[in-house]
Formats: sequence, structure tokens, C-alpha cells
Amino acid sequence: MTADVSPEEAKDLLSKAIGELQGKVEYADGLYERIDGVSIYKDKVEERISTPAAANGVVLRAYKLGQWREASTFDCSFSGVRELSRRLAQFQPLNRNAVKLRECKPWKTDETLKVKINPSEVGVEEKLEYVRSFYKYVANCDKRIINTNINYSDTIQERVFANTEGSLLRQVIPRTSVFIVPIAGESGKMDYDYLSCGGTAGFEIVKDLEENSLKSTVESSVELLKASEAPSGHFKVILDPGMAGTFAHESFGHGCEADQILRKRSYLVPYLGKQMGPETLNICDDGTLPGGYGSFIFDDEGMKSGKNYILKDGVLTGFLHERLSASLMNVEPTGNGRRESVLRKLFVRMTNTYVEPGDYDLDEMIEEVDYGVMLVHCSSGMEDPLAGGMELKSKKGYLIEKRKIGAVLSSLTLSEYVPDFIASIDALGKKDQFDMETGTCGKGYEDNVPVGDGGVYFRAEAVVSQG
Amino acid sequence: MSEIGFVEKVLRGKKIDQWDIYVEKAETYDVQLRNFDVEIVRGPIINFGYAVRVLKTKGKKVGIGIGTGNSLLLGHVTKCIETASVGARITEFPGYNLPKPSKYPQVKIADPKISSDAENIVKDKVEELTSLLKQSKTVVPTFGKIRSYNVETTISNSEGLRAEKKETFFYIELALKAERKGQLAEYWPMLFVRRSDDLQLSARIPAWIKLAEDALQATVPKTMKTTVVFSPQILGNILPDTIGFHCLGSSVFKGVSKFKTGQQVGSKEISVYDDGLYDYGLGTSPFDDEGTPHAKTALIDRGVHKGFLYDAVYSAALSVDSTGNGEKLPPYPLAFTRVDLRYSRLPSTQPTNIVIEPGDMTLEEIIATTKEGIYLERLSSAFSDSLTTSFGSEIRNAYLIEKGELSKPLKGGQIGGFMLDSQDTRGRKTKGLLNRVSGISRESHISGRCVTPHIRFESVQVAGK
Repeated sequence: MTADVSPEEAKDLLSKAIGELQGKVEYADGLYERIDGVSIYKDKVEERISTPAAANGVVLRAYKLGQWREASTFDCSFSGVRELSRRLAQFQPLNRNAVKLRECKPWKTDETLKVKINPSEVGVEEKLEYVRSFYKYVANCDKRIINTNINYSDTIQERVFANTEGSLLRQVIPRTSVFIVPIAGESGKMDYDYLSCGGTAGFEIVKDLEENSLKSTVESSVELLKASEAPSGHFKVILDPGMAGTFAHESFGHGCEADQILRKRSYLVPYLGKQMGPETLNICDDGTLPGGYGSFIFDDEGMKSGKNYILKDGVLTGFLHERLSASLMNVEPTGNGRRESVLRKLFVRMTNTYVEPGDYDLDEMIEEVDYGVMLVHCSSGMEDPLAGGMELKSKKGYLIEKRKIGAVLSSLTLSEYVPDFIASIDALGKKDQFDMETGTCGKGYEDNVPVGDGGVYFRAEAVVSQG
Repeated sequence: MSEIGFVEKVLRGKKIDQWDIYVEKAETYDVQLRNFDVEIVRGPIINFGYAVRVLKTKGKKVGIGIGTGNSLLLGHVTKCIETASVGARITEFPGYNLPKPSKYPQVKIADPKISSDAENIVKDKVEELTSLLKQSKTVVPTFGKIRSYNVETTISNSEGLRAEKKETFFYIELALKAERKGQLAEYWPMLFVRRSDDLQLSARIPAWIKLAEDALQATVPKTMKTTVVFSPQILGNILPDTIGFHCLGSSVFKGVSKFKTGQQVGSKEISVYDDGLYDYGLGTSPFDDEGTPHAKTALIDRGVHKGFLYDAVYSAALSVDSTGNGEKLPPYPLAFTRVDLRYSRLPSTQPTNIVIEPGDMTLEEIIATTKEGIYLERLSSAFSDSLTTSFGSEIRNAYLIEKGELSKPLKGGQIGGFMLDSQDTRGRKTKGLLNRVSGISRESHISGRCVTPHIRFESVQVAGK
């Protein structure tokens, strides 16, 4: 039993397994995955070093008469994988329809996303020392910092893909991230802000982290000790780039996933080709974005990653696809077929989703608001692809009163009907505000994949409350 | 499992004094639907993994390292032990007591039907599900996931402990769409149970269909403070991450718990346990992920805080016994849906099943005695902030309560607040929801890692149009 095979062995393993399915099913593919890496957690009493919660192994998938059948194993021996092939070769679909998978031209590649400092070449002791130095700096920044949680993570994800069309691909994607949470406490009250950075990048993410960023995060945590209770109601709102990205991904992007269209579960279908927002509004999903946490070379069914506009000049232009949805809707795949691991199903997934810049300074945006709320530092978002609801949560916010930033607010929830929200967007920030954040996205309640979200500040109207 | 014996042998050969091993084997089958069609049949999905922890005493403190793998080739096991040894050398924890061999309680965690015929049970449930749904004229599934799990776990350690269990799970997630005259609405249930029969599809599906149909007439609530009845599934999301977090020994040791023993932290109606032995609870097990026997621990008794939860680290640090709460769980909300792939995580102090003691009213009586308010069936996410206990979410499926009866369906707007007491900017205490309980139902439901009745809270903030 081994999941630790060389790149050439993995290619050979998959090619043979797929070869056994050739002619027995309409189409078959296979994916080998191996993840290496380290996670470090530190707070005032613990230092934890662990390996990624990952599943190494192989998944084989076969297509016949409109239905998929797949099986997977951690056992990467020829006999282990041949057993999967044997099962798939006998596959009798429960449905019968004549939908053929759209043919794709086979290709070959073997690429590693380049980073400045390969995290696997940095010792775990050095990584821990950096984490300790961040901890020490934050702890000494302000006596009101009662604890600090630091999470460092790096992974090297190797995926090898082969299919019955003749594609044979390998990619190695490094991802590194740091998440720092200084917890401030005073007179029985506690609160925190966070600093997050990461991407398809190496250890330079850590080495380049500046003390000023740590200091301003500490100041922000301390500032939250003075947070007022948030107002409840329908207001003008300004979203920071992270919130804007989570809106683009959760609230808008999920409705653009073509599997939701095929499920007849997207509120966006009637809007295709129609003006939804201002002509300055562009939202794009881009798996090729350099450094983006959701970037890759090919998706998990061998399609090249791409840059796809889902909203262009305020008009809904198209949807995101994997191969089956593209076949059923008679369009080209967009490189959005992704799976969490070899243990999980492939779905249409986003990559790096962002709001493109406009022409407003942040000060101008604020100066045009009599009363409203600015939401910053996104903490989560949830989709509602059928009904177009939205839920975005920010760790921090500010009241805007009489055209100026006012009281600080902690933990806010924003909601609105997405088409109304998009139609209400009336200001988009300039290019110099553009920022991307790291995240993970679930499909429903599970199936988490790394994604990037971002964009620029923008202004709209929505319901806001404490929470 | 014979695999654990091999890893033990390699560890002993390296003369490592303090260690433990966690081995997990999991096999799943699932079927996923697109509308009424089967989109994919998956299985067997077979996974195997193990984790070795090595401990190194450093005065009163201890270093703990972990190495993980899914290959039993000697070179790979050796590398895994070396990784754990490096971690033990360079990390620091406030203490650790390796659990000794114990007699474990008998618990109910497995369904013989899933153990013996998982693949066919999944297919049968898909047929039952689609047949029940086809009886509706207005509601159809847009997607569905139906999945079985068989998970085997073995733990051993250098104290001679050996613990083994076999458990089962069944998962269902559905999106049910109602459509009338071009108008769309949805109910999106997700359910984890231990036994396939606990799905109770013939009872649940008609109720889910009604929720989807009613949502067609839903309106956005107005902004107000009102009485709100929370469903078990919402409480199952909020309570482990708020009340549970502040009951952890690790939170006490780190100075971030809001609780002190003997302090009034909630209304007198509320009593809470952590019960790792609850029949067919998702967090139920004979032992925790370090091999300590699971137990039932009182956390809050009639509003008064009673006890904390400990794993092997914080029981040693605070010189108390472990309560069997060393769990290899990811943080919430991932903990809600992760029943396999636990091996690679380091255990941390976590609740097992947060159990709210039932009240003495039926749900119908709770609603009948509510003059005005909202019945909340489902929120968008109900993610909560464990430190501040702030929570808030968009309303997905709810009803107005008027004159003691459910009236108009609601969707949109938000509900939010703090589960525990908090302070305003002038240092004045504001009551958390736990101090505003005015009714608890008699019937409890398993919801994730929580067993809870319906609970009515007073003066809850609603934000709408």
C-alpha cells in the first residue's frame, strides 16, 4: 500500500488504469493526488505542528449514457487501482439518456507553479521560529492583547490526470497562508480582528510580512473593544475588497455555476444577457490569476484554467462549467471542474473571483453617504443560488454619519436580494484599492476547495444588523 | 487492526518512550441526484490513514509531535515517526497525561444494516426518497446527496492502552424547490444520522415539502425586537461553538472563557450537559480520540455554570481528570459535517454532544403561548463567533407567530445577537440570549453534535425592511 509514487509511476499507473476502461465506457479519466505540507498553530500556551488533513490516492471516473460512476482508493498499487477499473468497467447506468460528453482535444503538460521560496525547502524549525517571532511582536505591541492565535500553513499539491482521450497531465501547486488573530481584552470585554495573507505562493509570504501590518491588526483588535452595538435596518453600505470578493463569490458566483442552471436552481437564469448593474461593474472568475489562492494550471478533469467574465459591463454574460454541464448546454468547458480531494465528487467550482476596479476614491464614496455602514474584514458568506438571497458577515465595521466615518462596530451581518443589491451599486473603487484574499469554499455544506476572493471597495444598499 | 501492531513495532524499535497511534479506515458509498436523475454513483470510496504522536517531557511542560501517513511501507512509517519526533522536540504544551488502559462504556454508534450492506442501503434510500418526492405536485429536488459511512478506529499508546470501535453514519442533503406561476422557493435540509432508519423519510419528506411550498408566500420581516422560537437545527449550529467553547478547559487556561463555576450564566430554565454517551449521537463514542473514556459532564444546571471539559493536555495543566473531550475535530462549522478523515488532526478540547435538557411544554404549547413573534426553522448559516458569542444570519425558512398561531411565512432579513452576556461601550452588561429563555420544548432532536429541544427566546433583534 502506498500513496507515495514518483511522477512517472503515477502517470503510468493512471494510463494503465484508464487503458483498461477504453472501449468499455464512453469516456473515463483518473486523478492521482498527493499533498505534502505543514500546519503550525501557536497561541500563548500551545504550539501545534501537524500535517495537512488530506487524502492521498487515486480516483477513477467513467461516463456512460448520461451518468458518472466513480471509485477511489488510497492504495496506489497497480492491483489496488486495477480493482477500481474492474468495478467501473462493469458499470450499468441507472438512467438512460443519449447525452454525449463534448470531445476535448487531448494535451500533455508537466508544470510546477513557480514560487520565490519553496516551502518544502524551509525547515519546520525555521517556520516555527517565524511564527514565534510574530507571536512575540504582537504580544508586546499592546498590554490589552490577552492572547494571539497564529495559523501558518503550506501545502504542495501534486495532481496527475489521464483520460481516454489521451490527455496526460501533471501539476504541482504550492499554497502558503498565514492567519493572525490578536485577541484584545479589557474589563471583561474581549474582541479581535485578524490579518490574513496567502496565495499560490511560497515562504516569501511569511518573510515579506511587515511589522506594520501586525501592528495595525493589533490596533484594530484593541479598537474593537470600544465597538458600539450595530444598527439594524436597511442602509447605504460600503464593502471593503475582501467583502466585495465574498459577495462576488458567494452571493453572485454560486448562481453562475452551470450545475445550478442544470438543476434549475439558479435565480440568475432569467437575467442572462440582461443588464443587472451599472455599466462600470465587471465580475470575473480567473483561475490563471498569478498568486491567487484558487489558481491552477488545469482543473480536475484536465481543462486549462481560464479567465471568465460572469458579469461584463453590468450584463450577465455566461456561466461557469465543467465538462458535463458544458456538454448539456452545448458550450465550451471553462476549466471550473474541481474536487476537494480524491475522496470527493467533482463539481463546478469557482477559482479566484473578484470585482474589477472602477473610478472612485474611498473618501469620495464615504463623503456621499449621510448615514450608512462600512463593512470590513469578511468573516464568512453563504450562498442562496435558487432564491438570490445573500448573507455576508464582517468582523468589523464603521458607522458612516454625516459623510464621515464614525463609531466602530463589531461582527455585522449583511443581507439583501442579490439582483436588488447589484442594481443598487453606485460606486466602485479605483485600481489601487484592488486586493485578493485567501479562502476555502464549500459546495453546500461540504467539499471545500481553496479559492481567492477580492476586488475593490464598492457602495450599495442592504440590510445590516449585529451578528 | 493488524496495521497498528506494525506501527507499534517500529516505534518500539526506535526506543521512543511516550507515544500513541490513531488508525482510521473509512468506506463510503453515495449517490448524487440532479433533479430526479442519478448524476453519479460513487463507491467504494476507501480511505485509510494513521497518525503517530510522540511526546517528550520538558520539566512540567511537554512537546507533542504528530506524523501522519497512509502507507505501511517501513520507510514511510519511519518517516512519519521522525516527523512526530521533530514536532515533540520543538513544540511546547502545558502538560500531558497519557491515558491508561480503561474499561470503556457500551455505546450505540453503529447500524448493522449499514455495516453489512452499505451500497444497497444507499440505493434503497434513493428509491424511497424519489418515490416520496414524486407524490408532490409542486416540489421537486434540484439536487441530492445520499451517503453511507463505515468507519473503524483503533487507538493504542505506550501505556498499553488499546481502544477499538466501529461506527456508521448516514448523510443526506437535498435542495427542494417549490414553483408556482414562475415564482420559486426552496427548503434545503441537511441531516447526519447514525442509522439509516433514523432518516424517517416518510415523516420528514412531507414536512420538508410543506416548508418549501410555504416559502413561496414568504415576505421579509420588519425590523423589530421580538420573541423567537429557534428550531433544533439552528441551535445545533450555534450552541456547540458558543456555550461549548466557553465550557472548554482550554478556554479557561487561555483566559478566554466567559464562565466561572457557580456563576449564573443563563435563565433558570436552562440546563446543559456534554454527553459523549448519548444513544446514536454524532459525537458519541466509548472513548475520545486520545483513548480516554467518554462521559456525561454537567455544564450548566438551571442557569448556573457547573463544569468544564478537559482533554489530556488541559487536565494535566489544571491538575484535574480528563472528561474524555480530546477530539480530532476541525473548527466549526466544518466539525458539523466531518465524520471521517479525523486521523491527521491533533486532538484538542472539544464538546462531544452538547445536550440541552428538555422542558415541559410541547412545541405546539410554546407557539400557542407566544402572542407575537417568529418561529425560525432555518437560517442561512448561523455561523457564530465563539469568543464573543455573536451570531447572525439571513432568515431562510420562518413563520410569523400571531396570537399564538403560525401565520405568514418569512424569508430574508436577519436575526442576530449574542448567545452569552456582553458589554456595551459604557461597560454595561447586556443580556445574552441564554438569559432570555422563556420556553423549552419537551421533544429533543439530534442536530449535528448537539441534542436540543426547540427553545423560545425573548427580545431577539430582527433586521428587515
